[in-house]
Amino acid sequence: MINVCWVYPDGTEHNASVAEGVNLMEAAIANDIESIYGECGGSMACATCHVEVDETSGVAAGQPFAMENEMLDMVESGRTPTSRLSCQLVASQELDGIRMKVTW
Amino acid sequence: MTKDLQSCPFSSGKLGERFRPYEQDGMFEFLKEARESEPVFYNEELSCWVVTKKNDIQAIFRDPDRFSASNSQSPINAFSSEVQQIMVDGHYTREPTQANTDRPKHTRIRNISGQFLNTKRFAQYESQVRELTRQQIATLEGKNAVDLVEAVTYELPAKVLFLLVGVPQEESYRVKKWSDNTFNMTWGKPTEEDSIDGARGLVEYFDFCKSVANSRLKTGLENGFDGDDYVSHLLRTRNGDDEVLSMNEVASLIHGVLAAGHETTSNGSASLLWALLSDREQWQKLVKSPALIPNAVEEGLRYMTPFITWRRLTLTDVEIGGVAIPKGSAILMSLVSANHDEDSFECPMKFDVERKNARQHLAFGNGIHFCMGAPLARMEMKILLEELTQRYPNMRLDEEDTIQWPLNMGFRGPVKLKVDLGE
Repeated sequence: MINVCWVYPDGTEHNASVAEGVNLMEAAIANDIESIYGECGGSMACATCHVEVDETSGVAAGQPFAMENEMLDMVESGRTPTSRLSCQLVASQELDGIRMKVTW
Repeated sequence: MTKDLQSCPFSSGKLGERFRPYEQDGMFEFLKEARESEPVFYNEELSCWVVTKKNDIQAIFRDPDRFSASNSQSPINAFSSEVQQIMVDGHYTREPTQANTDRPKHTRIRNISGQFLNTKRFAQYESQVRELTRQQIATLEGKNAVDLVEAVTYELPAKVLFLLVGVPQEESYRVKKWSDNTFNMTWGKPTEEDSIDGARGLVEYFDFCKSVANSRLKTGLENGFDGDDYVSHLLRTRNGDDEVLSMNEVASLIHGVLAAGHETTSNGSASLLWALLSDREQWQKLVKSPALIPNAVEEGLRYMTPFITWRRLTLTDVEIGGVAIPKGSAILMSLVSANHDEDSFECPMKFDVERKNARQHLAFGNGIHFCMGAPLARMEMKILLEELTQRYPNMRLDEEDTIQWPLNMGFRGPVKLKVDLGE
């Protein structure tokens, strides 16, 4: 299990323990995180699981590839340098303690 | 609680034989029984396996390797040879491009259309959509009793689509009629006589789509493909290369967006208004707190589900909900049943604009084929409710009127919605 933290626009923090191997979109839905819907089920077709990874966690989270990159350009709230689709972030020891801003 | 959803005229007997896929009356009660007693059952009339639980349906949507989308828009009642001949003679060459295409073709085309059909692009149209909505609502001035379907929800979504496609608004009524015909031919139960007329309608509709593609191509070749509409985007991306996108695919994509892009929103809007006005307390909540409107839209999509079923074809032997289903079987996913699944939604028969997890419905599908127009439909329905609740807060259902539904196993929305505007 790793610790994951979602931060809402008002600054409130929502923490959860997530099993390794679970993607962070699924984890958000399982933990009733607001504004994460994952409507395409992780196939990078909807961008409804967009998060901004905190800079302190950014290196471990890595960079988006091809299709994810294209979808991030279409995020309504606007892309930031650390934007990711959380369906593409899979819980692993490297991501223990990851903090992500949720946008709406 | 809305009154027409409760009765159950489907008599006792084997579940699959009692399934009435074209009828609204009794549907909710029947599906509840199915979820409880036989969540996956076979129906002879449609020759398909009906799946009713949300988790099973979501798993199918997310498994395109084992469940093909190729049958999702095939006519549920096969065309006669005479009907087919009319289509051959009329050069009806519409081909699968999106919802009924599998990978890799689906990926190639979705990547191109998704560059235009996306949340960010749709947001740019918000003020124009609001203006169109206000213009449509302005036609109600001076009236008291109106049919909201005829006056507002029928044509408005088509006009919005025309903005995106770059087609004159005057064409919207003609396109609506063609679309109605397409849906009746695909998911309805037309007589042979109606099908023959309907086949001519299909040919006319696709001819129109081809003419839009060809005239935009001609303009583009003369003046450059710098238009900010969907068709110009497709042609610009195509850049004369059939490997990227053929002209027949462009015409088919125009057909796809013109048909799918408004009929669902028309039905969804009318159904949502019906549900809200059937329970005045819910309507009043929106009048007082417009901030609830986005969630009310989700609840309307969940509760009524404008497209009640969708199909898949098994590419291998599979097991769904413990039932073994052979390769080559048609699967009918009851989206409306998924959206009333007690395991996913508390008190699912209650229409509640404040429901916490309303957006977890499957009205727009799930997985790689998730509806690309979903953000646009949501925006249109939100704006319509914002404008109507503020302009006509005292609107009421015409108590004398009884609701009517089309005889269709896919598209579902009130045929008319008579209201008193309360002026």
